Amino acid sequence: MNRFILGFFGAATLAVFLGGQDSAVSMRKAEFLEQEYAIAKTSASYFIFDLEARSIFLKAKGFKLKEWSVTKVRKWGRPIDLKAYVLLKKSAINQPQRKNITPKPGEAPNSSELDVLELDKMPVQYTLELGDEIRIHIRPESQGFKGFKKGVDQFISWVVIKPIKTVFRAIKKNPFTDIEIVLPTEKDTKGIYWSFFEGQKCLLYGLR
Amino acid sequence: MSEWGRFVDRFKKVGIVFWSKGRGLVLRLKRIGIVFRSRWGKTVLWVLGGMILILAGIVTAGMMIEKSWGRRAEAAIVGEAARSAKKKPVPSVPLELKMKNLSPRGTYVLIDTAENRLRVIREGKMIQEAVVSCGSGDILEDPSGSRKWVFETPRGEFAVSSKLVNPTWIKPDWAFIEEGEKIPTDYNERIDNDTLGDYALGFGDGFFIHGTLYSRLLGRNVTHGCVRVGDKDLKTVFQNVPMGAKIYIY
Repeated sequence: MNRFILGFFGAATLAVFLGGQDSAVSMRKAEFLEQEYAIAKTSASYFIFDLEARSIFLKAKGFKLKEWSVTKVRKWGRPIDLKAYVLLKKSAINQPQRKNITPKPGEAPNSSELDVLELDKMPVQYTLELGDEIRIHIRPESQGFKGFKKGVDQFISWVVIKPIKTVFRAIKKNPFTDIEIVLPTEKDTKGIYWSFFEGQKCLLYGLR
Repeated sequence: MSEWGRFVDRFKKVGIVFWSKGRGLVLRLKRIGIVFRSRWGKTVLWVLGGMILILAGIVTAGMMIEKSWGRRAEAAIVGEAARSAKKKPVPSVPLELKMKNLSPRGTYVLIDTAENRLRVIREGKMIQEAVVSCGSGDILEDPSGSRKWVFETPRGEFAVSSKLVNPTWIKPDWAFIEEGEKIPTDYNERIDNDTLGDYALGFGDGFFIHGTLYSRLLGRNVTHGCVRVGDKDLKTVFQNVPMGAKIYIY
């Protein structure tokens, strides 16, 4: 009888705990939908980084324009608030430059001679700066020797440099968040760099 | 376990990793003949060892600070969510329905400037896809230095504001400056009946979806901001897309 009563209360406690977890998740989902609705009402297009579902969406008025799948996500630093962020700056080592046209008479050039700003010219690896000291580092998956070298760089960055940066930022009382997103191909990373323009809003979901 | 206890526990783990890496490096140096037998060599070893331990300490502290940021912010988020759940009234219309009502109805156009594709959507289904040319992103400066044009297709939500058959292009100043020509004073010299093709759909501030003389350049970002479509596709777009239809450019 005692074992039965104990078992009953144990099961009840577990049910309450799991129910609590479920309601916390559905509250976050509801909050996320509200935030997305608020952005969709006022912005022509916006980005959703749904990192729980491992996807990045470009949306307009609630419907999907483009989707990219995410291979890997890593986060360091302060958790992210569920609110709209604005892309303040994109930075890359080889930032694409607009060409200044030299006025000259003539016919249209052949397609092979064209030197214009296109998707292929976009950088493969870059950093997106949002407000609140949040930086998203985007890169494609690396294979072979490049992948090994990248792995070593990442180890040093995440195991040594970020913790040291954290100590100094804690002293200055200025926490930060670094997110690393890895996409399958270079075309995917270039596509996001092309589509995500400065001043555009985004939501980050699924990262604690 | 107290914070200090957690720090010591983590420091031991991090310290062991750093120490073993440092020791491994010294052994490798010994194998290739670099030894630290002399007094100076031993001093260097002690200093390196100390630096490794200090580095391990800083790294451990950084990891623990990062965890504490997470714990504090999580507690704040959970608390705020619990408080707002108590206050918030239940919405009368579900959010999913409200979101669905924002989406465009009927026929609308999607223009992908990265892939140079135009898609016509009707009742949620794509009824046409065309290869197009969008803006080059190039910059043209007036030699006098007073004006500058950036030839980019604007992004955002627009609506078809005009539909023209056999449209006439009134060439703006930049069209002459780009060719190195003098800007004409006679208005008639600006009239061009060929460049825009058979049809044009206007949107935004003077932009058009129109035809092209350079169909071999379709698929490339070569225009001055307008969207160029091949002749056959342009006719179908003109027939399928009504006045006032939404255009989403991204």
